[in-house]
Amino acid sequence: MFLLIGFLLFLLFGLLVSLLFLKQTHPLLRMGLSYLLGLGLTTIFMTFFLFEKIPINTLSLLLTLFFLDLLLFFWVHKGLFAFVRECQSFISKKNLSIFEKATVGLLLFLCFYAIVVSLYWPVKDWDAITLYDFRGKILSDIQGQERFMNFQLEGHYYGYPLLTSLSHAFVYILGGKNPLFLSGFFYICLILVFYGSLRQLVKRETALGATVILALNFLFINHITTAYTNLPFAVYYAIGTILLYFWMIGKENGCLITAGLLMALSIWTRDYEPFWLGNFVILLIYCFLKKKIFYPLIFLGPILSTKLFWFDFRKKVVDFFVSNYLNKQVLIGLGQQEINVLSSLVSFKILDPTRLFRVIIFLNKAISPLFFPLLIAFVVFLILDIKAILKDERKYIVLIIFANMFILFIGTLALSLTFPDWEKIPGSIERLFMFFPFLIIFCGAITFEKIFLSNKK
Amino acid sequence: MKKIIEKLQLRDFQKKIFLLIFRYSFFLFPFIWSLTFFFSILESFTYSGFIRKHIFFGFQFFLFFMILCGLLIKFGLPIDKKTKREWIDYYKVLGLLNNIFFPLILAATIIASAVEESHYPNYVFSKIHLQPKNLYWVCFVSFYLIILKVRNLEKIGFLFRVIIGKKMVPFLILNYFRKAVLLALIFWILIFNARFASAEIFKNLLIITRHPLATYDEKMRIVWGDFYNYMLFIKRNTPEDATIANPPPIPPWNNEGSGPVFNAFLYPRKFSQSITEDMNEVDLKADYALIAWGFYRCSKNDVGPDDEFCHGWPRIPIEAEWIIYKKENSSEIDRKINDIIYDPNDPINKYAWGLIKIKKK
Repeated sequence: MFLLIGFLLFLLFGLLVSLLFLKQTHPLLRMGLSYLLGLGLTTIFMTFFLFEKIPINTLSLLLTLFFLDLLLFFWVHKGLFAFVRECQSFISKKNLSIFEKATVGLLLFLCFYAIVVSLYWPVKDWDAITLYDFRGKILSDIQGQERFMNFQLEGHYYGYPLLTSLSHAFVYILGGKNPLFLSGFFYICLILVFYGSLRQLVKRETALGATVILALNFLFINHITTAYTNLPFAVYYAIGTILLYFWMIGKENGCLITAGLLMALSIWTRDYEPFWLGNFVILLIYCFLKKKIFYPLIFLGPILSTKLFWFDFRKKVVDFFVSNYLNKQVLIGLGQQEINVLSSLVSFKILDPTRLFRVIIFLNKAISPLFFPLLIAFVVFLILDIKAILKDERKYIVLIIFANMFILFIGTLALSLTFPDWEKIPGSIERLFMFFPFLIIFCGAITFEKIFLSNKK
Repeated sequence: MKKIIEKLQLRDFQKKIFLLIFRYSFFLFPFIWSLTFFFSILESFTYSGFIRKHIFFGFQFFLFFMILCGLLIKFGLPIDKKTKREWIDYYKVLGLLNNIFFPLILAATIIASAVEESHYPNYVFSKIHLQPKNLYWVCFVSFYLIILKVRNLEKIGFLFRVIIGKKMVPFLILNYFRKAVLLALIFWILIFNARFASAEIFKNLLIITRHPLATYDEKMRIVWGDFYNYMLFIKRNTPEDATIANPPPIPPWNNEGSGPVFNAFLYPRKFSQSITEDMNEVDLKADYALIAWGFYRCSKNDVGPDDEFCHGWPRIPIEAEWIIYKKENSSEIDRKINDIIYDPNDPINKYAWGLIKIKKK
């Protein structure tokens, strides 16, 4: 019961936050953002409680959410009523073709499947059970929260940021037994935000077709039941990038603020991979060309705050372990690796052609089993429509995709210099790649529409 | 066809190229379809990648080529009557054979997949040397021909409608070609994704329908196997404040020796193990010690078959208050022996999982 109330309260919280920043958007995108922002920002204030030694329990959680909702309700209640009206008209005005009915049916089946399997399976996979969910269980009681903050757990548990663990803790604190359903909802959000954002740029049938292609991706379906950080990261990061793109193509400034928030939440999910740098560089170039000098700061603010906060905490953890144990083992995952990576990147080793070739082969092996047709399609789409892409706004999203691919390549190269068993973990690279299909299919759908339907609008 | 080409105001070499492409796709399709069909069957009876290994181009290459040719002949410019008359018999024969085979292949795929899911991975392959997953491709290739034979394709849906348009619009040939390539790619991605996704969905739904009321322990057993029973066994037979000596985190004790796994199942119990990964070291100050044969395979230098000599832990004699052994595939106690010195060379400890209560001096 408490869990249901808590769930509804954080959904409302997310909805109100999205209404605060985004005045006009597709209702499905807003629904998806309600969950993403609601859950993410709830874990942020849980972190504040944790660090301020305020006990996190049913009462403190529900009361805080209630008062935040109340506060925001007075602020944006007009937007809320408008959203309800939007939803009513969205549901009522449909006249679907056979193709649309088939795709909607398939998508509804996939959503239903996501809920069923995520309610059925417990948290069961290696990383989830040993790290994310274990921390969630520890953080779900007051003694555990104290143990965590007094660094009484092994160093391994301080490696990753806390979004997934605190969301699991949220479920446990409110009386839930199985937090895996959160992953099911992340998958549903993926469908909602993808369709909702794409629909603003293309026709309904194109958006539905593209959403089916994305939703049928094996990795997304597989991650409904794994409860790793990759699916939440992919959703936060990809929709953050799309909102950034929306701002670049002239939509409201709220898109940029929300994009920054979502990027920060993606870092709050996993912070090792600096993909956000790619987006930031493209944004800088865009702002420089358009003479919007101060806008990058809006985007960078939430990202840097999260990054610096977590960096500072991990520094404290490292200092504690070094001064108490002097045990190198516990330093794994506590920042040492990042220092190694940075020092390796400034060395000349990265220019070794043999290593470059090995990295390319490794990336191909890791990515192509599941994404080969998608990558080929991306390249072919680019080649066939390159002139038009360079002329219109699609160039920004294409540049962002390339910037992220470059970061993936450089990151793997750095990993190859610092981690001896780097070639044994293609699965990690494959999971890291999860947000690319979102961006590639998004870009592909717009291109498809321009090629096929330009004369039919 | 030549008249239509002339209307399009293309340069001479462009005309020649596109005429060749359309003409040859009409000739090529029966061959490329037959070849792709044959290769898909061949990979069903061997393994994925068999074709790539032997003739450099993978099965997917032929599949893509087949889809492209199919789209070109279906939606490309009309072929002249003479050519059509010469080749139509091939199409008829192929279509007839395919109509007979398709239901059989579809039934075989469904049955093989169901049998595979209801037993264990590779069960069908071990019995009749057939890969059920690869049969999906055979179905697709066969189904593709059926789809191409449907007359009013535009009624099927949007993808076909957009390429045909309300009338046969005289598109530029280049546009036709470009659209055929894009559609072929989209089909490829969709089929590629759907194949993996459907296997995952099918697997999960089968488990759920088979064990709809499974308990937490039963579900964890499905995933972790007998290792989960072992963790339950330890949990039930040790108090929460116990310290338990466990093997180093190296093969074959990747799970039994892993601190994070230990914590996930046995927290708040503490574990104690050798920092130097010395497999002869046991912390005798601990309250308990695991008896762990090792669930993973291990061999010298990580190559070669599983080596029995690197299994089995602890490797030193330990004076015990009692030793309990776990029943196979259960979390129950198989036998309990009081006041005994644990001997690593005793045959009873071969393939054994259990727990030692270390005697305090």
